[in-house]
Amino acid sequence: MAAIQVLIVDDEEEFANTLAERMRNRDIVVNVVGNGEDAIASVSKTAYDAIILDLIMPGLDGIETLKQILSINPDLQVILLTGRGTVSKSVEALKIGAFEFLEKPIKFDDLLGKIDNAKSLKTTLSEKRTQEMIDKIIGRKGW
Amino acid sequence: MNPDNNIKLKEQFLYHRLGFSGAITASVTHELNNVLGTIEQLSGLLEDLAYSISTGKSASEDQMNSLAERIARQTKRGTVIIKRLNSFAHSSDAEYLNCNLFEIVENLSALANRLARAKRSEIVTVAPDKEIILWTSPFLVMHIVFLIIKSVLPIVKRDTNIQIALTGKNGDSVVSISCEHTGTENNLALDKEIISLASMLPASIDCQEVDDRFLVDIKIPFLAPQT
Repeated sequence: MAAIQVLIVDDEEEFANTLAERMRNRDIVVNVVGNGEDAIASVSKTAYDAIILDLIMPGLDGIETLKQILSINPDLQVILLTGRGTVSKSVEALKIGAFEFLEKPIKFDDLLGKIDNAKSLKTTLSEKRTQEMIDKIIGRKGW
Repeated sequence: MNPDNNIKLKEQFLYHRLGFSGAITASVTHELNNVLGTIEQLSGLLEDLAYSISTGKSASEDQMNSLAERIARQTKRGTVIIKRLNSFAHSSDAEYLNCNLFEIVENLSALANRLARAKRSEIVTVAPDKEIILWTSPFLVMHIVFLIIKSVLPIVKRDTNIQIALTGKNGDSVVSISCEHTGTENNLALDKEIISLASMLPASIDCQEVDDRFLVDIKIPFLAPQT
């Protein structure tokens, strides 16, 4: 089975790197970037199973980054990391298409569980899209 | 003045003071939350290491020392944040105090820097040639500087600094806040509250545009320290 691929987007460098180290200890392939612009560039190149995205970041914030990431690949599963007092923004993010959100400080096991769920959902969506494509071709050819 | 208007003004003033304290506390607690979140993950990493040792894998002394250093660095960061917040909280112990003006401004800058970083900017302070000790309201000074920072944030050029410099001029103390702005179409709109707070200090505000920079001077008349 292919390793899970995760992108962490957080300007808290030490936090993001530590999270990445712990994930790598569990054979997850992880990339870390510190802002929204780099996240968008990375998503354009790699097919991640889950994106861990901090809601509050300098420059392009979490909501704007989320919108742009999903416009590149709507099947991407984004787990938002939020602080206290950002409930309305979290709800907005879920409406835009975020998969889940977790409040900081996070429980690592909770995060791993959500990454697993994200991977399963992404696989299901991907299979569904492939099936839809096959059905379309069959329909067009009249088979 | 009509007594009702006076009460309304006092209520407004208190409301703004609370708003300022709230904004600083929200920003600082967010930063502390980040520190605690990082320490939690670092301790988790330590647990991961302990687990891998228990399964027969080896861990080097360097790995252990590096982790201990990383935890210590975050603890130190948290301690500095708490010290700054504590100093901010005590700034309203008395309305007027003998103050080191640079210490007040530097503390506020550190507390407000997270807001600046959100706009991809950084607040930097420039110390005066000579220490400025005066009799003033530290809370009011911080409140005015904070509101000016908030006013310049929407127009500050990305990846540039907001500079706060202190000078002593003709017996007055001047706090100069300057930044590069994003373009000529942007006007600096200072909050009306700033002027009314300045008159209470008492201080005067001078705002000007020089080339592509906005410059706001807060001129505080020198009041000798009280014994």
